[in-house]
Amino acid sequence: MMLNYIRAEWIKIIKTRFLWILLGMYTLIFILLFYQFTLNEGANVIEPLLKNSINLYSFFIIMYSAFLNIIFAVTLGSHIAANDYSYNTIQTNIQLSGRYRLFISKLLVMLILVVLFVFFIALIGILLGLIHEPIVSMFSLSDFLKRLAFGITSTYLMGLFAMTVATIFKSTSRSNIICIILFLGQSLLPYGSHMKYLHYLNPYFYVSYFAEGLFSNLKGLSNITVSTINTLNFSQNIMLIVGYCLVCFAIQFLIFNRREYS
Amino acid sequence: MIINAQNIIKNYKNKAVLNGINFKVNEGEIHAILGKNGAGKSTFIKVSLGLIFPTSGEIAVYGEKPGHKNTKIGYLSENITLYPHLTAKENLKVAAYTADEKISDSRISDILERMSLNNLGNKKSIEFSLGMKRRLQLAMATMIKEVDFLILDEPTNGLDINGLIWLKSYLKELNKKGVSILLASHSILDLQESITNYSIFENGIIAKEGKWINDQSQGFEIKVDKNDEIRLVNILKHIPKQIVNYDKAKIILNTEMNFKEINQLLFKENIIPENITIIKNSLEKVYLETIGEL
Repeated sequence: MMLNYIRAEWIKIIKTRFLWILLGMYTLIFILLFYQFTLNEGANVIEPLLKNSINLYSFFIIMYSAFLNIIFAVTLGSHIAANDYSYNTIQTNIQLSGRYRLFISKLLVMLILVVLFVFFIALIGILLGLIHEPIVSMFSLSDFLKRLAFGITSTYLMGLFAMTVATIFKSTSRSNIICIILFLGQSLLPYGSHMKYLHYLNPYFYVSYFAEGLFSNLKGLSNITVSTINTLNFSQNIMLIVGYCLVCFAIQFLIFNRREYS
Repeated sequence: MIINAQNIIKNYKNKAVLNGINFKVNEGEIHAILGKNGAGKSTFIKVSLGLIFPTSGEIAVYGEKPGHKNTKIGYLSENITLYPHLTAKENLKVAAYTADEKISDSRISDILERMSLNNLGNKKSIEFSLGMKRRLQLAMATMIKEVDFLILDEPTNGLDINGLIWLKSYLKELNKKGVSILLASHSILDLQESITNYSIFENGIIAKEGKWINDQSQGFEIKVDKNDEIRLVNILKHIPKQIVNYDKAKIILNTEMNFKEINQLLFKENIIPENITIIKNSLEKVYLETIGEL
């Protein structure tokens, strides 16, 4: 049974102060964004997005445009994968649980937290959307679920990448720096958007490319991801995502199983 | 047999840390590994836990490959291995869940009480003293699941006098309950009265090993009248298996005879001793003799 291993990882992460600081920051930023939009100060940037989407959860989409999910996925993924190295608990945990169980429980806890996180954003988005324009006009459950699935897929893929880097370097901080530079590097570089080859050096490009391909019929996505060129069909995109996950799993699994903990 | 290691070699960057270790731990033992820093003690312990892989050689723990989940082994690391942001109770819960064990709140309270940490359950471990942290770690190693074999790496690190007294009695209590123990320690004198076997590691090999009986006398220092000294030395030298040192009016006798036998011998030879001191075996002495520093 994996349940106990997941419980252990859950206690470790849920009691971490940074997780709550991150969620608090998220909420604060969205409330600030909300007031900015209602005061029409950011309307020219956001209005096209709002018009293309559905009123009820328009703010859910805005949240995904904020790139904060990258910060969440990277910091959380790095922390889950490397916290036992930071606290020196990796040896005792491996002795207690065995190598592969520890590895699998970390992957599962990351998935659970990502799902909860995306629901959390959706909830805040819906609440703010309702306050902003309390007319439920074009609600579509399937569209909403697709957006949730898109959020979960893209955030988990980024988190998985961060976990892989953190496992390689045995360090939360090093992984955070490396992943944030890799994911956000292109946006941080001046004129970076004109240098198209940078797309291919940026893991976020692949994550968004795969995730966007799965949900290509969703309105508004093209405004929020770096890739708009995914012309593959659904099953091809699924295969890409599965392949990406397998590569990350394999790297982490091999390291977990072959690393010496001296 | 719990541990059976045959010709274990471990190299780091072409430097041999373990250089052909043959090592056994049997049920019921409290086996101490002694040695300087860098002698290979912790490396061997980690090999036996499956945390480090030997370069060559064979090792089996309960007949299985090291790190096998089904063996009931408790492990206390030489480092502090607690989550600083979690309370004592939460640390125990995490350890229990990681070992795939269920643990109730009442069980946690029992454990904390036994470790004299009963008022500290809701305190974060970062606020604990070093001694309290070691107690909590020891609780995590020994009490959250059924343990048959306990591996302790430097268990006395950070313990004060009370902690040390408590540790010695706790190890004896565990051993009485049938728990076998392997420990590596710098503090030989602190634990010598608790152990049953020892192995001295020196430069990656076992320089000496054997059974240890703490109260076994190593010999006697006999003080007699000056006129009787030479006569007694000559008598003792003629008894087989005795080692007699005579220096500056002190007769040191290494013998297998007991106190009563020595007295009977002196009485028979009509020698009245002024004083007889029992010299007890010292693990420190054995260790220093083995590594050539005595």
